[in-house]
Amino acid sequence: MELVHRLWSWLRRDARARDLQEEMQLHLELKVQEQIARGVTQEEARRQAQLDFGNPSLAAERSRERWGFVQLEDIRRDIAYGVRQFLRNPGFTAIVVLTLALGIGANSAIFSVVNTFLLKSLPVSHPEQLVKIGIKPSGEFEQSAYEYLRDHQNTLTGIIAWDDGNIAAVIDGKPSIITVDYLSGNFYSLLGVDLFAGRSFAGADDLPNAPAVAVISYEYWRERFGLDPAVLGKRMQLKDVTCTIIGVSRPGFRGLRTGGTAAKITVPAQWHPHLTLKDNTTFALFGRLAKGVSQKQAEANLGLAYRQWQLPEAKKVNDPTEQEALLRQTIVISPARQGSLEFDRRFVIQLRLVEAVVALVLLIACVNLANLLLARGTSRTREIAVRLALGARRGRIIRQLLTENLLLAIFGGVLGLALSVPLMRLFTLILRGNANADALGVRMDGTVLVFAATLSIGCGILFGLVPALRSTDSRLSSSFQRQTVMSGTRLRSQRMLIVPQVALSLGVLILTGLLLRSLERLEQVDLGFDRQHLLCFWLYPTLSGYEDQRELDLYDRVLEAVRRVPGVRATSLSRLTLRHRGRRHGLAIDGTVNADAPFVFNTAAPGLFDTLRLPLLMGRDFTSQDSPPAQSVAIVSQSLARKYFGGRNPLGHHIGMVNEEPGVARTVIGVVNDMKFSSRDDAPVAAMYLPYAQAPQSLRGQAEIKVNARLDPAVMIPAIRDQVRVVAADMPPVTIVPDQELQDFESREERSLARLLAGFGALAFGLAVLGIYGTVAYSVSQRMRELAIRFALGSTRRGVLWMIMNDAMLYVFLGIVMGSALAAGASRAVESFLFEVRGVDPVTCAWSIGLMTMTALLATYLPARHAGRVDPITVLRSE
Amino acid sequence: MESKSLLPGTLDLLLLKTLSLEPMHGYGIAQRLRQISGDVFQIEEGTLYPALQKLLAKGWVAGEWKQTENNRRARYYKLTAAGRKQLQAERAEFEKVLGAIVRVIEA
Repeated sequence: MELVHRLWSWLRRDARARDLQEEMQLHLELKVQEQIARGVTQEEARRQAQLDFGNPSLAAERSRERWGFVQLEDIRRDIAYGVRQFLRNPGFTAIVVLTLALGIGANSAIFSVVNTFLLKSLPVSHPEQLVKIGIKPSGEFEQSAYEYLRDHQNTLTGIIAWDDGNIAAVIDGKPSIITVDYLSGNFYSLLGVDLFAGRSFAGADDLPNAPAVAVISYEYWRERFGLDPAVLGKRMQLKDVTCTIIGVSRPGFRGLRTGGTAAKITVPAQWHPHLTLKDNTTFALFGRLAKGVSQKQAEANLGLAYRQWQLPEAKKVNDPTEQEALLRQTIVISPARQGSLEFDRRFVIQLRLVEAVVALVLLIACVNLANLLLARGTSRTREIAVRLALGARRGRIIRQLLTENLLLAIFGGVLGLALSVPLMRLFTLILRGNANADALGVRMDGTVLVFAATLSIGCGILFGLVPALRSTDSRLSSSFQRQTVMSGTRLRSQRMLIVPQVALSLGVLILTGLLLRSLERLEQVDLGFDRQHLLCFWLYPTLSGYEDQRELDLYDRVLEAVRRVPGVRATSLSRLTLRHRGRRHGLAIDGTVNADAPFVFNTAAPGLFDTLRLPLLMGRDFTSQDSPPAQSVAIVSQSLARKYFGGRNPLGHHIGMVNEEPGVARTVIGVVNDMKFSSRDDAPVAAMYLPYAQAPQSLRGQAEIKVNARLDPAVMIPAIRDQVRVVAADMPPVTIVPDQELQDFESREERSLARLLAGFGALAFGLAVLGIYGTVAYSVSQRMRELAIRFALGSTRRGVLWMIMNDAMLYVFLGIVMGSALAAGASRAVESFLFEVRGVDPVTCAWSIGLMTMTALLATYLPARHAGRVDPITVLRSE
Repeated sequence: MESKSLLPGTLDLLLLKTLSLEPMHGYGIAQRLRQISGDVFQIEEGTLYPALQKLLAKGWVAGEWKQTENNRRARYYKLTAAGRKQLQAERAEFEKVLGAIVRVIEA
């Protein structure tokens, strides 16, 4: 009944209002007549009646509460009123909405990256039951360990073995390198994953002698096969294995990862040993907990099984340190709802750092907006005072102001969501080197929308509540005629907001400075070899089925072909890149084992040092004669010679790597100049080189070819590529890059982090400076009268200027102190990104603080100068 | 913001009772209440009209536009069947409370 009435009243609310108006008007007139009848004059009667009647608008307002949906109605009216306010101040509205849109957009974009990589569950059935089986303190599962665990555990409903890698696939006669996931046959059934088309492989496909099958990703199906349904049943050549495509996975399915690019094909794990490089024999293991089994129980159960595998295995290991390391290993089970989180640890730090900085920017923006609204609140004091005087309740006005602020926040949020899509691309480009956010699984979804909505509303309340409460403060509205002198406390609270703005932006500024400085150092490092003329490319002969002598012959053919290209000064190859960080331990010098001796090693073809322009100090370079039947030889670096041979001449002495080649002693035939293997190396490390042809099997399979070219890379690269294609027609085309790119790649994380921080740091800094400027300008405009009186009483312009600036700078300095402390804390988080720069680098801090101080001085000076120009006569007369 | 000398919560009862005598317009209700109560209840218009709107919303009274004796258009409020029931209920409740108060005071 009441609802119907309300609805009806609401629909006819205008007629209702007219009725009520008429009714009350009549009432008033009857009252007047009554008074006149008593003999009062007409005028007095009217006055009396009106006095009696009270506040007609309030009565009308309160009567209306009975009609319809007052709450809704009020909100509607608040919104309409708010929109009118915004349209009246388009500049103010635009500033607020744009600031918020940037803040909310950036936060939503980075959140979608975090969500994809760190928060989302795998799109499989019951992801919460998934666990990762790991090894503590470190290590990976050998194939035999996986098989043993699989057959000797009873707490998991199944164990999944997984390894990822690259493979050369020949489809329709065209070879190309593609990414591959090796997965145990139970993968699809255990995870409950449906395919887009065809069938998935099962346990039977993972047994020896089963024909080779593969499931391809939807994305690969689209880009390579143009969504052709005939792809099912198609054959591809993986090395010497003919493999049939039996299924296509769903769009966006990434195996055991929630983000990143999906492997193009998946094949049963049994093909792993045959198709991968010789030194890659391990798997990552996942499992699904059986019903009622706790993580602890599974850990105990699998731990026991692993122990049983470990003991006999350890007996086979000759080296005591390695044996001890194996026996130290224990099983650890961790939840794997999100699949594999095996990202580079630094990627996670980077992500978190950017997240924090972006949140800081939003916080600064909110503080700034609160300040702006506070200032505007005062300019609306008269409007609000009028409304309060007309009988509006305080809560009602607060709600009106909050609605306006929320409205601004929602506009900002909507625009922010629109902005977040390109920002997402920017973030994935900078953080993952791929602007195609969608392909990495980073996209706008429900979670991100909810995040953005919550953020918008939170911001609206954050920056809107304090100003709303303040501007309806009864003490203020009482002085409604005209505020002559601003109360000191009020201005102080506004200036207080300078502190967090300065602190936060200084913190970001210092961090950015540290990174930029470290980057600069990193780029100046001299690695000790000729980088200027070096071009590099990789060959993966094993992946295309080249093994043993055929592999070596291929290298010879390729090097020979490259050497023939005009403009090539020298060319050679090594198994590991020149910037590998692989540190090894354990050298035997003339039979004496030094188990802890650290060193770096690489394999080299003849001419490597010539190609690198690395001078040979003693002895000779490798030749094509240094192959297996000849005696085993090695070349050592100058620092290895100095460190492990003392003052002796190392030539002719014997050296061996106790872990990599147990029992092999190599004769030192040369000493070569030192080089750095990474720009992060403090000093040249001890290095040992062995001839490529004499390298153990585990060090075969791929090589990095280096070319020292006399001519411009733009000319050289196509010429070399053509020559390689002629002699290795069945190999995928090679990608040739100048060494500078590899160098840049080494510092790409620092670079991307510095770039992001610099962008947002500049934003935060700009906002803070605007905040300072706005606060001072506002306080000057509010204190005109006070200043005029001061001048009239004989204050000098300099004195007033100094007073105004002093007021603001006090808070700036407080902010600087807090900001420095903040930066000191935060710099610990980026320590792993810093190179030759201490946690709190005094030079960077001095620069940042100097910049902040100078800018703040300028931001206070400009408005303060305005105060100095106050003409006391004009101001006091206008009152 | 109840009127002076009006017991809190009794305004609805008084309005319903007044209207049970005959349909009346707002001014008439205020006059009648003052007369019957011997000038004790001086109901403010700022209270009266919101209260009447509430009774309308509850469906206890119905409004009808008619001509007054002086040929002015006015809304006359009339008790409905639901209003009559509500009056009885409120009256019973009031008497119960009043009785209790009297007993407490005189004890």
